Amino acid sequence: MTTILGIETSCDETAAAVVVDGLDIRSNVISTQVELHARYGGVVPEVASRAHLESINAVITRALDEAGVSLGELDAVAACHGPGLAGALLVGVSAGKALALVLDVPYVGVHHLEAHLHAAWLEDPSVEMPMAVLLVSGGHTMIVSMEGTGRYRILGQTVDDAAGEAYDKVARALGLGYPGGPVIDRIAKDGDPRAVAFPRPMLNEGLDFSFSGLKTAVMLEIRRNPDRPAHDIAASFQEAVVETLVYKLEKAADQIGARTLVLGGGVAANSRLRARVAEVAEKSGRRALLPRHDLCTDNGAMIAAAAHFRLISDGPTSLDDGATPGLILPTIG
Amino acid sequence: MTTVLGIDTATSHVSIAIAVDGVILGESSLPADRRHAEVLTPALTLLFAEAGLRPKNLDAIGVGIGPGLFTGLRVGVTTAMTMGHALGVPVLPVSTLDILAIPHARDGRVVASVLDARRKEVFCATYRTGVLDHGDPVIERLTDDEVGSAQEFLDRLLQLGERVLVVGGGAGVYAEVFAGHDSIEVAGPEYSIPSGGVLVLRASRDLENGLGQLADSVRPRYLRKSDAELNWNKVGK
Repeated sequence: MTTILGIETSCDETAAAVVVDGLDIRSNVISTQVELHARYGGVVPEVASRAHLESINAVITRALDEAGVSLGELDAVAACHGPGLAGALLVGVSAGKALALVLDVPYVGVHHLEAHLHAAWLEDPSVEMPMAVLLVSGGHTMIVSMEGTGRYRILGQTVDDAAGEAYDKVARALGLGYPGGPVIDRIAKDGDPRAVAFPRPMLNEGLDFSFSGLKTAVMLEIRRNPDRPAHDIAASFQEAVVETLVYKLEKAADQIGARTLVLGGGVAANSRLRARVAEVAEKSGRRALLPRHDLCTDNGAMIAAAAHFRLISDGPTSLDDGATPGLILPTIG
Repeated sequence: MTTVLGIDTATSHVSIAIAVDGVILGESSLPADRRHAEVLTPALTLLFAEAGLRPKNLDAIGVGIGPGLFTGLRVGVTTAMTMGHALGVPVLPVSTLDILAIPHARDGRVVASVLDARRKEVFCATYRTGVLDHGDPVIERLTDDEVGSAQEFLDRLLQLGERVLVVGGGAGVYAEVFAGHDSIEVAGPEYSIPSGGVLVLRASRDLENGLGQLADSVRPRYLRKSDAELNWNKVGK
């Protein structure tokens, strides 16, 4: 039995979790800074880094308490070492390495996206490989073929904005505040998704995405028709995003012969996206694996889970490891 | 037996030391540039090994809380807080400007401790130094830790009308500003890096004086808000 503490501080959530054997979540504590950043309309790196430092030890302590695990019972400590905000990542990495040093247990530096890929496994370890995984958040939008631990192929990704970024910008333009994802999702339920025919960018151009043009189209529409209800614009914008994401996810699944469609990342909490992926999966006789909310957003459980498998395949990470803001996902081609 | 670890990452160097009962067992200062996290943990591992000690032997941890460049500073403070929290031992916060000034306690002049704060500004503090009748050095703060332009700081030093020794990395960076005044001497580059040994002895004495804090209550001394907060305040919302 291997008990791992996972720490995640790459952006605006200070998170820690205890996971046993890479699958059994004993605790998953997430302290969000969303209110701190709301007035700036986005995550401010220096504000995020300071807040991480102030809450990291309290979050770690709560994760251990909720799991009923003492420090001495940990077999390894893992932290997200990239990609992400440098100052933010360094708080989690420093805390993780300090604990590994004090406890004399292995340290594991974990790739943020690899961790998101493992979140689905936490939901169902018996899932059939390869999986077509759509990772979609404020910082990333990509489709990955996952064939096992450490076996990933990036099939497509955004060439400009991440989908979550587009949500934030559209929400700001509509005066809905920050973050944009939840509020657009909520008001879109009262809107007509066919009210405005927004473009579906790059729909027939491979598996890459582009959301910058769509965002501009929404801005233009708001300027041209200031009286159009915000919920109609929100619903139409969301429909364009979701349709594009789901269309390409299905195409990717066809391409690699995946029997499972998986969602990960903060935007994976979007209700319309979840509903559409479930529908499309059912229609094509596939499985939809939709991790629960606290496993979609940034969390420590996914870090501990990915660390478990990395520890088996690669062993501990050297203590001279730091944080790499632009860390590339290791792929097999 | 009281064992204390010292960590300072507020400058471009990582400085660490271990002292037992007020005697330095070992210390090191290593160039880190922007790689404090990469340098600090292996350096600590080596220091513990060479001192024949383990982290669980620690009774307290002293940490340089800056002022300094934020990202590097946080590496040392987070490490000290987390180690202290996990070991259940107190942490002793020490101003990095103090660490730079303390070696000059016997100097007798006013000592000005200066670190480069970028954007043509310095972090600074001034101290009165001297030797008491029975031979012990004494060093007293004249100011809090502050941030401001090097020129403004110099003007205030000149206004003191006393002889001043300028120490710390900022003295070299702003050598042109501080040069050419009879009352002001800039210390050599050997005094530009905070010493882990100085830090750990100061922390040991602070521990004896009951100044230990709960590990989780220690905070870096930033002295500056983030740019976003500053801009926000300017907009006046």
